[in-house]
Formats: sequence, structure tokens, C-alpha cells
Amino acid sequence: MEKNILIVEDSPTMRSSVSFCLRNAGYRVAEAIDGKDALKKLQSMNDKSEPLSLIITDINMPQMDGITFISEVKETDFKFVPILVLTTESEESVIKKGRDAGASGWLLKPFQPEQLLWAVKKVIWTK
Amino acid sequence: MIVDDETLQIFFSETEELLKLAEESLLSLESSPQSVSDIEQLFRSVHTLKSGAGMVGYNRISDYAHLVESLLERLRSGKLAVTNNLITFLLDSIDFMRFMVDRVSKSEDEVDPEVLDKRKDQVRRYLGVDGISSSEKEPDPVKAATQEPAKEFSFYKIHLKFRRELFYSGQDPLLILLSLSELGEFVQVVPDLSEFPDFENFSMYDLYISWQIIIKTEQSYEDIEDVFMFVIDDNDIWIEDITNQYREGIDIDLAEKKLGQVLVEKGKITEEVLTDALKKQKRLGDILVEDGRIHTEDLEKAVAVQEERRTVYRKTTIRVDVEKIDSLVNLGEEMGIGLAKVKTLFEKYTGPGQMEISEEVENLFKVNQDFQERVQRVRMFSLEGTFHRFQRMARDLALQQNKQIKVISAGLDTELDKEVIEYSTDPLKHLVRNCIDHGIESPKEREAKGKPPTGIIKFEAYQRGGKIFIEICDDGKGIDLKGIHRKALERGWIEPEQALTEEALLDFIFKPGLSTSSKVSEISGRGVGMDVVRTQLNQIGGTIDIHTEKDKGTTFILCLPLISAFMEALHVLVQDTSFLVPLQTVVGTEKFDKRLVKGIGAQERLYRFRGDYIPLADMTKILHIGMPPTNGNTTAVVIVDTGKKVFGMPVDEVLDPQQIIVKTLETNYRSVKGIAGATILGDGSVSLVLDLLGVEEIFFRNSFKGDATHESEEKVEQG
Repeated sequence: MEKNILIVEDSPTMRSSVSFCLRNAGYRVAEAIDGKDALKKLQSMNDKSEPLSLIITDINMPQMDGITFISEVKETDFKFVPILVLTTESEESVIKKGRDAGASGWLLKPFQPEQLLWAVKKVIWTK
Repeated sequence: MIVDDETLQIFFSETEELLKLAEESLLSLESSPQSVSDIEQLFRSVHTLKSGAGMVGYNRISDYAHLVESLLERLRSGKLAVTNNLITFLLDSIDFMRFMVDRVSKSEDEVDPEVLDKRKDQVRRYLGVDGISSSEKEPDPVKAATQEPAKEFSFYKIHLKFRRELFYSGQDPLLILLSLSELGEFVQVVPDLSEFPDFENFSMYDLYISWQIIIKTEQSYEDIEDVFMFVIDDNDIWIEDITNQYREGIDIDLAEKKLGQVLVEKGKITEEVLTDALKKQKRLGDILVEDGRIHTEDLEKAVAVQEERRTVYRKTTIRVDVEKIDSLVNLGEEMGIGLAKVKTLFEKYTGPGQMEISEEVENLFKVNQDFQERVQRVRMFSLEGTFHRFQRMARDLALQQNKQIKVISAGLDTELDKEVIEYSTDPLKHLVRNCIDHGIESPKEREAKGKPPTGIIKFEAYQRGGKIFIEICDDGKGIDLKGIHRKALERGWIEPEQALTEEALLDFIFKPGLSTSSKVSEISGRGVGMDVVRTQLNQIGGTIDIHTEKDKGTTFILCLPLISAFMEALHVLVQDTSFLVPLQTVVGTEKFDKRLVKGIGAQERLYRFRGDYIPLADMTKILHIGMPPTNGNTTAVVIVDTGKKVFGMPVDEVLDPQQIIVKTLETNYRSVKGIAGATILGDGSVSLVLDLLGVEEIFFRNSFKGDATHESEEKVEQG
């Protein structure tokens, strides 16, 4: 079964390339441009029968940042969905913060496709 | 990373935005070197660019950006001070990145490796050696995966005690065990169920089980650790290499009994070390919570600031071919005309549903109008970007000539049609160069004149009289009128005894072959002169004015057409012809009162307005259209102020103001003086838009001879 992944990232380049890489690897991908947008998307996914396997989110975004977004997700039915945080080496404290908010893992930008798939695999185990 | 074309396009568009942002913050940093928000924005721009370039596989851009980012990191942490040199260098780096991006966008190589190395060395010189080593120390999440696997088997003992709330982090111990199982062979798995609560206290969302696992594997310690990368910091996870114990034939159970003790026995650690480690282990959770709290506030603050700034600065953009927009404009207009016809047809219709139909048509009409406006807006750009470029240019030039300047911009949000911006950029550039090269004096000279050492250059844009005005103003030495006079004599353009007004003298600046500057700068003064500036402006229907005063400065005033810029206009009827008068120029409308008219001469009439007499300009006469003027139909006077003159226009009827897009006549007909263009009104009819500066010129030339302003203009033309 195809796994569904939601990408939350405000940089168009990042969003597009992550999405491209995941699609190529056989995942089904939905995109959101920030936390607020993502919450809206999640709401509309609520009724669908296909489960969401993973959320990948950036930290610094307009409207709603990743940390707030993660905390908000934990208030929804999606609270057990793994969340992968995309962040940068300069934001070590953010990793901690993200984990406290309930993120499952993180990935340092920029990354290679293998690294992305590796991290994804780590939180949603796929043979 | 292999990406699709679409991602590449997105990357180019985003990068352009990022480079612009970076440049903006650099320029702004120069005037306020302490600005944390500018440093942050600069850093973030380069940082995002680096990530993006890395993602789409432009590693050279990414590498270079990474070095620049390291430099900025030092700036951010206060290890490096903001100096003019540094800013110049960084601006140059931005240019270099732009250069590389440009190259790849044309499917060329980013840059020669040699050139790149040179560039990188430059950044490294700024960084110093320690700067590089610390910046290169980047945690790499897959470094383990790329390492050579250990050749021999190892045995690891793994103690896993997760947080009770693990599931809330979206993690699943089962998945972790499954991925661990991929690395080798489980020798032993011992679950610990002792924490399991009574049934009443049991929560299905909590985790009560912990494990002890022994795994036989060819992988290294790091590979094993890697599996737990996301959970190792906030859970109780111990990995121990117990290979030695196995080799020495030690019983697993024995080794298992006392984890730390075995190490102590083996002499690997002392009792104290073990106790210390265990203490740390217990305190780990507390430390994290404490750390987390401290960082929470700081972070939230920083995020709030960033979020705010991003919302303001980050405008998502896409590139669209202008032709596509133009065809939308045309379609919108055609739709409007069609709708107008439909409306007229239905006006005669009296059958069933007449009310609903006319309501619907009316509604469609409004939607179409709105649509047309919005499509036209797509073509409009604010002058912000253009002014920023000039600011940058002015700054670079000044620096080269050891001059000090401060640039002030106003009216950045003034919007201009894309084409007008494009056509006027070169002339404007030249004027900016002129200000720096010939206007602003060196700090020494300025001080000698009692002026502050830093010169001021001001860019200002505004809309008036249905035209866009751009002023470029410096507080330099002014234009040397005597010098111009001398040169004009030398070149035989004037006679020695000929008296000339200031304006006439200034007009010589626009003649080919006149240069009053003794110095020629690297950029300005080569080939292109003010004559070209004027020609280029004239080509798009613009004009240029100069005001100058010795040692006070020079102001260039460009007057640009709106071409298809938006404007509010008053809709009036004169002899059944409808005209649109740009609203910015309209002072007011008055009910026409015959008694206030005062005739002078045979034709001219004055009108009493607010205690003054202002001339009455008759449209039919000025534009040679329609019937000769009759007072009979005149019901109102529209009073306009072009900035130079105030005059009244008698009209038959004043209709509602309209928001219009002016279309030039030149495209389909020819340029007509006094008419800025035409527009299609909401009802599909065509109306002429008055160019009041043109109207004023025709009117005062024909009617009020002897006017001072006019006289000097005549002379200029003779010159």
C-alpha cells in the first residue's frame, strides 16, 4: 500500500524537491506551505479512509512555525502520526524543542535523497 | 539530488528573491551596522539559498553559500564586526552567487572550479583558519551509513527503556526494533514487563515495556547508535560493545547481571566513573526539561520575530510571460464589450425573467470590470526593486571614488507599468552616476564648503497629473553653468553676446558632445551622455527637467507616462464627447456661473475661482473636435492643477469618477498631443483620457502668449 506523507515547508524549492524525491520513492505526497495550511489540510484528511503515515515539517515558517504546528497536531486525531522535522545545523536547540513538542525525528538541511529516505524509513519502517 | 524542471524553475525564482533580500539587508546594515534583524535576514537568505541549491544539486553554489554562511554566522555571533570592507565583500559574494545562478539557469556550468576556488579562498581569508574548521564541523546524519562496515562480527548489548509517552512523539518501539533487526541477528531479546500497571490504571497510549537486546552484527557501534538517533537523547538507551566478553567466553547471563560492573571488572572504567555515569543518567531527563524551558522562551521570541519579518518580506512570486497577461487583458476587454452589447439587447427585452436577467448581466458586468482591473495590476510593479538597485549602484560608485553618501528613497510603492520601468531604468542609472561622479564632492571638499562630509542622494517617485514623476536629487556642487556656457561658446553653439536663461543653458547638457567634468569615472562618462538619456526618455513619451543651484545640489525630474498604469479619472462630457480627466490633477468642480466669466481679448476667457481669475480652457477648441464652443450647454467647470498652472475646463456634464487603464493611441494610431490615450469604459464605450500637461502646453502656447515660463521654452527650442 502506498504511504501518505504530508510535507509542510515554506521554501518552494525545498518543498518541491522533497516532494519529488518521495514521489519517486513511491510515496504519496501532499504539500502545505506552513503550519496553518497544514492544519487545514489535515482537517480535510480527517474523513478519508487512507491513513497518513508521516508528516515532514520545516521549523521556520510564516503564519505558523513548525513547533507550534507540532503542538497543534498533538491536539488532533493525528497525534500519533510520526513527525520528521527539517532543520539546519544552526538550530540544535530547535531539535530539542521539536522533540519536546513531540517530533519523532529530524533531518539536517540540505540533504541528499538517500538521507531523506533514510530518515523517513527510520520513522515509518518500510521493508 | 535529481529534481524535475518544475523544481528548478521554483528554485530560480526563489533564489532571485533571496538574493534580493540579502542585498537589501546588506545595504540596510551599512547604515545601521547593529541591526540584528538585518543580520538575521541576511543570514537566513543565504542559508535558505544554500539549502535550496544543495537540494537541486548545484553543489558549487551550495558550497560557496555555505562558506559565506559561515562568515555570516561569525557576524551573527558578534565575532566579526560590520565594516564597509566586509559589506562590499559580501555584496560582491552575492553578485557571484547571482552570477552562478544565472549561469545554471542557462544550462551552463555554475563556474570554473578554479574561479570558484579563488572565490572560496577569499571567503576563507575573511574567516580565518579556525572559522573554517568550526564551520565544517557539521553533524551528518548518514555518515555512519557511508562508512565501511566492520569486517568482523561484534556483539552489542542494548538496553532500551523508553519514555512512557513515546507514542505521542509518533515513534513506535516495534519499528525501532524492526530496523535494528535489519542490522544483524538478535541473539537475545528480553522484554521487561515489570512496569505494567493494574488493569484500571492501564492506558493504551502509554508504553510500559522495556527491553534488553543482544545483537550479533557486522556493523559498527555508530551504525547501531544510528538506529536510535531520534530517540537516544530523551530516552534511556545504552549500547554496549560486549564483543570482548563473548570472545573470552563469558557467559551472557553473567554479563547481563551487572552491566556497569562488568566494565569495572574488566578495568575499562572505575567504580567512580560508573556511579557518575549512573547519576548523569538519572539527571538527564531533568536537564533536558530545564534546558528545554530556557530555550523555549528564547526560541519563541526569535520565532515570533522571524515569523513577522517573513510575512512582511516574503512575497511568493511566479514568473509569467508578459504576453500571457496582455492576452488576458485583451480577452477581458472583449468580454466587456460583448457584455455591453448583451446589456443593450436586454434593455429592450420585456419577456419573462426580465428582472433576473438584467440583474445577472449587471453582476457579470461588475465581475468583468474587477477582472480587468486585476489583470492589469499584474503588469504593474512598484519601483522598490529599481530604487534598491540604484541604491546599490550609488553606494558602489561612491566607494570607488572615496566619497561618502547616504541614500534616501521615497515613494517606493509607486507603481509603474513593467515596460515603463524597463525603458526608464537605463536613463535613471545614468542620472544616478551623474550625481555621484559630478554632483557629490569628496568629503574634504564638502567640509571645506561647510557641508557635512556625507552627501545625500534622494530618489523619489510620485504620481501627479496622470504621470509618474521620478526625482533624483543630490546635495552636491550643482551644475557648472559657467562651464556649460564656455563649452557652448567653444563649440560654436552660441554667440558671445547672446543672453541665455538658466534653462536654456541647462538644455545644452542634452546636446551630444558636451562634458563639463574634468574627471571621468570608471562607469560614467563613457560614450553615453545626457543626450542619450533624453532620447531614451522621449522614446517612451517621457521628459526630463533639471533644477540646479551652485553648491546646493542638482535635481533631475523625470516625467514618465502611465502607458497602462491605473488611475482614477473624472468622467466628463463636452459636446457629447466623453473625456476622462486624471483625478490627481482635479482640484474641484464648480457649477458653471456665467457671471463669474470675464472675457479678455477676442477668444480668451477667465473664470473667478476662490478669489482668483483662472483661464478657461475649452477642450473642443484645444483638441479641434466637435462644434465651436457655446456657453449654452456648459453646466460645470472642472478646475485642474497640473503643478505648473491652474485652469478651468468648462464641461457639459460631470459623470461619476472611473478607475481606468490608459491605453496609448500610438500602438494603433499615432500619438496625439493633449491625449494621454484611450480607455474602454465599463459600458464598453471608448473614452479619451486627457494629458493635462499636453493640454496645458497647447492651451497656453496658443492663447496666453507672453507667459514667462512659456517664453523660456521657446528660447530653448531655438537654441
